[in-house]
Amino acid sequence: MADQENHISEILDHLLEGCQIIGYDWQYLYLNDAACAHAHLSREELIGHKMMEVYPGIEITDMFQQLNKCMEQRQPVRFSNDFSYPDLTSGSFEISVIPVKEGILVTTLDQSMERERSIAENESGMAGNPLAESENRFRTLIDQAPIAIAVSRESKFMYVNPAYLAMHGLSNLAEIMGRPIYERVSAQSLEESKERAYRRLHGQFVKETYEYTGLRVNGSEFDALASVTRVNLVDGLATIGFFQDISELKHAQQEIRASEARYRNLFDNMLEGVALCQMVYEDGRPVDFIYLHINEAFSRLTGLRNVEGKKVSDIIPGVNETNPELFEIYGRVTLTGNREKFETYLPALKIWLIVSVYSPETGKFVTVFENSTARRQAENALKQSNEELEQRVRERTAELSDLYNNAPCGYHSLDAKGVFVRINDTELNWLGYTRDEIVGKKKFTDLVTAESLLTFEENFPGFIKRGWVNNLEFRVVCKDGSILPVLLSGTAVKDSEGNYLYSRSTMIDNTEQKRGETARQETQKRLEAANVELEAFTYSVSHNLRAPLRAIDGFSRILSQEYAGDLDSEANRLLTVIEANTRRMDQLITDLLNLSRISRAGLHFSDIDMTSLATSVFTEISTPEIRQEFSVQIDPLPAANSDLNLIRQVWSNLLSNAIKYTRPKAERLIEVGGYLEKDSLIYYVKDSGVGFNPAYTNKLFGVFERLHKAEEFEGTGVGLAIVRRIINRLGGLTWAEGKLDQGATFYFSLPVKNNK
Amino acid sequence: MDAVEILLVEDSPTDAELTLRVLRKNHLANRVVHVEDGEEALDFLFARGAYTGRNIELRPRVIFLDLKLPKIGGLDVLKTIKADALTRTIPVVVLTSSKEESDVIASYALGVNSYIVKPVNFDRFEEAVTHLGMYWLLLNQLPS
Repeated sequence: MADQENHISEILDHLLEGCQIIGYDWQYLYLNDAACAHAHLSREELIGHKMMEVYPGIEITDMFQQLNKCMEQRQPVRFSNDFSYPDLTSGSFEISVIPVKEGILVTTLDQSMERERSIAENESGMAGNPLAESENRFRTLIDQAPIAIAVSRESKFMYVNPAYLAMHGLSNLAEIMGRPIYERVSAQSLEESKERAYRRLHGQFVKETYEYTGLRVNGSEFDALASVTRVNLVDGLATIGFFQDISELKHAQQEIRASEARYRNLFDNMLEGVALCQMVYEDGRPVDFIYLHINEAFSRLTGLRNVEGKKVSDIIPGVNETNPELFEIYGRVTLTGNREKFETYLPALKIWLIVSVYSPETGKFVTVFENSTARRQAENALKQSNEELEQRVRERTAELSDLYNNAPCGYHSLDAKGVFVRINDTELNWLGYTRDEIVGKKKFTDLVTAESLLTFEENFPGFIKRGWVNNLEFRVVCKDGSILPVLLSGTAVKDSEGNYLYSRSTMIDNTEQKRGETARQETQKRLEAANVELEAFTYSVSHNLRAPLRAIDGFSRILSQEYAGDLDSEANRLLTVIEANTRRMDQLITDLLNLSRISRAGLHFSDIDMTSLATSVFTEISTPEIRQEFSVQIDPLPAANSDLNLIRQVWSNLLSNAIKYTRPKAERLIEVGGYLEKDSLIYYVKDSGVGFNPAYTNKLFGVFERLHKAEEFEGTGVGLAIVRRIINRLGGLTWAEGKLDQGATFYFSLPVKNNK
Repeated sequence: MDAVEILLVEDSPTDAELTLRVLRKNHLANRVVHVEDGEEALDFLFARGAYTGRNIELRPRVIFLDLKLPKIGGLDVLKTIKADALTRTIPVVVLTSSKEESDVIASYALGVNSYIVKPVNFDRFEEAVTHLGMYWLLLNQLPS
């Protein structure tokens, strides 16, 4: 087997045609000797290497496309190819490619030898022709030139060099020979090209250089530069053109133009003024400068126009004197190349400018500036407005401070420990301290009596929690030792988390109140003393009045008892009258005492079950006989809140009256009832007794007033007066209804809520 | 001096007369000693002053005591009587025209045995004194 391989190998190596097998990955797998010769490389340099390694850039060639066509589509391909080697030689081959299982099999037949032979034949035909030799030399030059060259006659391609072929994507000369030159020109340049051609033909011109749009065979266009001239060739006139792909150049030019346009745009539209200036020196000192170039904003901001090429001293007269700093700074910048920024006022133009300046090249500087006049004015206005505001704040604060400090009451604030954090003048004056002695130094509790200290300790924690306190009485000790009674109210200031910060407290001088209280207390005491005195007086009066009464009654009784026999009926009657009157007087004294006591008695309010009270009073004042004689109905009565003893007296008087005045009648009915009407409790005692003349209703409740004769009904006429006085004291009213002989109803009312 | 049954301390002559009359009517006036003020009452009880030499052991069966007395007032007399072991055991009946609650309270606080208000009405007065006499002289038991 190995022998067979070797034999085949030997045969292949002797072939004139190159034979190579290339793998799917473009690795050279096998080459015969001829293939290596065609490749201008040794076998070692090829085997195992990829084609693109050996010939960089080969992928873009047409030859590669053809090889690839077979590699991918697995179809045999046949073509001619002019190949340029890295060593700058070239070769022309006829190539066949067939697909094989390893990849492709390429056979190459060297045709350059053919061409050389034909050329040599031609040359031998004209042997010794120096012109032909020269032409050959030129031909070589042209072929090897790096620039695209085309020769045409009558607007048809006669010859193009390999560079031209490459520029236009052509593979060999055959494709273009004899073709019209316009085929390689784009549609947009076609018209112009034809014109030029026409001119060339009919005009008198030697050469011209121009730009046009070239057209590659694959249809893509490119920017090109052509230098074209008429030449006299051996066989007649022709046109020779030198072509360059200037796409990149044009692109670069566009970029520059675009960039320049951008900068121009910025320059023209920016809000800041820009000036490029040339410094002018005198004795080495910067004294002037010339405006070389300004933008629109310059004119707008300064109001100066048409300054380019002019000196600043001409445009702004006196600027050297008014703004010497400009020259100083510009000079320095131009010299050192450092940047600077400053603000200045130009009196000539009445504007403030903020200027940045730098030096782009020696002797020149660029200023970029903005008009800050408006801003300065705004700043000033703001400053002024701020000052006005602050002034108003000061005034307002002074007002408030005045209100706080000179309030008619004391204001102070205490922290959580009870230390003064703030106090107004009024309170300081009252206490007799200075602010320094109090704020941050003293606690409120340091300034109060021992008794008030307790009040404070009892109330402060609750105040902190609740957030307010009203009208606490304190006794404050002033610096001079005097005591000041005060009323304290306060609210608590808390932070957003509810923690106590400090109090807002008002202190009111309570001296007057207290004095008034003392006065009232004294008045009260005096009243009480007077009452006690009156009580004693009444007591002694009644006692002293009664003793003689007792004697009168006693002795007259003894008289009538023991001397009745010696007296006639008239004498006895007289004695009876005496006795009756003494008893009456006794009753009067009792009633008067009661009446006066009513006015003086202290009131003690309690809830009263009126129903049971009325019932028990009736039982007390009546005898079993009376209870039998009478038909008494006591309805359920609304409870009252009043003085029990006095109400008892009321019931006693009213009920005994009812009994007294109904007794004579056949029908003995007593009805007791009560009801609620709006804010009052109304009670009544209704009887079926002798009634009264309604004409004299107003006299009923008068003291000692009687509407019936003494012999008809006993009584001193004080009973109802007592009822009225009691009820009036308890906040109610008394009234009565009646008709003669048809009974009477006596009413009294009490307020639902007791008020003293 | 004979045994005393009633010591009447009364400054009003008319009241005294009326009281004695009633007692007499009831045959209770035999041994009544009438003094007209508090000092005399105490002098009698303690056998001093005008009554020096009296047999102190002869104590009255009851003292009718008015409150409104000149010199030493009735309540003070009462106080003294009830404070002294010698006289404490003698029943004291306050017989007064005062209905004042304060007098009642004060009297009972001092240990009064009874408190009677003198009615103005003679019939009632007579009734009251009769009852008193009957009760304290005939019904009430005393240590021997």
